[in-house]
Amino acid sequence: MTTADKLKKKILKIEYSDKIQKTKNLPLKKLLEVAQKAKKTFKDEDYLQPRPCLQS
Amino acid sequence: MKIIYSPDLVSSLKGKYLFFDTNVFIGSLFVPELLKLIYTLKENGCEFLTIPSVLFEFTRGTKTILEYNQRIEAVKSLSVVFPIEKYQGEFDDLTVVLQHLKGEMDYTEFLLCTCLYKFQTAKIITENHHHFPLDILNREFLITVDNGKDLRNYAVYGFSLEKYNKAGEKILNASR
Repeated sequence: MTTADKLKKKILKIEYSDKIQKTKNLPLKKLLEVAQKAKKTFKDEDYLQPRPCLQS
Repeated sequence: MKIIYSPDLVSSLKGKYLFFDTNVFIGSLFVPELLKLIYTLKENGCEFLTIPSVLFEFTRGTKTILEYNQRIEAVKSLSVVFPIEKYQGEFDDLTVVLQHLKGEMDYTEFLLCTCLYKFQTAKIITENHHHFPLDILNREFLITVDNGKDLRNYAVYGFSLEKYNKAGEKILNASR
């Protein structure tokens, strides 16, 4: 298995779709949970900047 | 935190496509009231989309696969990613107009504008108000978040064909 394959296996796949279909809303509780986890990957300054262009 | 918006917002966006800018995804993580509003919009028939360059901006600075995946999961939980660049050849006229109006706009903003041009009843939601030109767009709704320290303003923008035609005519006249 190549390094690229190993990486691809571990990262979430993004589906690019040019056919826009109605998608189901996740329950609010689930959305808040997902948001909470993602929020931890940011610093407060990332939100506090007026235009959050994050610095690497 | 308090969130203030027009009582017409939810019904006006029913059945519409709403493209998210990067700052809206970030805001939705930090402001639960904004996420609840987004949830309500979806419950009322608004479809959310974003574009690959927003995904790139949103995952900028992630150091591990876990961090990257958590941010991707946040995007996937809300929206579909529309590959707008596949259609780039359709928008050469818009490129000329946008370069004339807002030469300093970044590529993501440009692509979000092309989404409005392609789907002319679609809208953008953003917190960045400097680079979306009101010469061709209408600012249709404001959403204000009072986080106790300061006020954050998000806005919903829509494309105006009338304004676009005027801007285009001006460029054509100047080129004669």
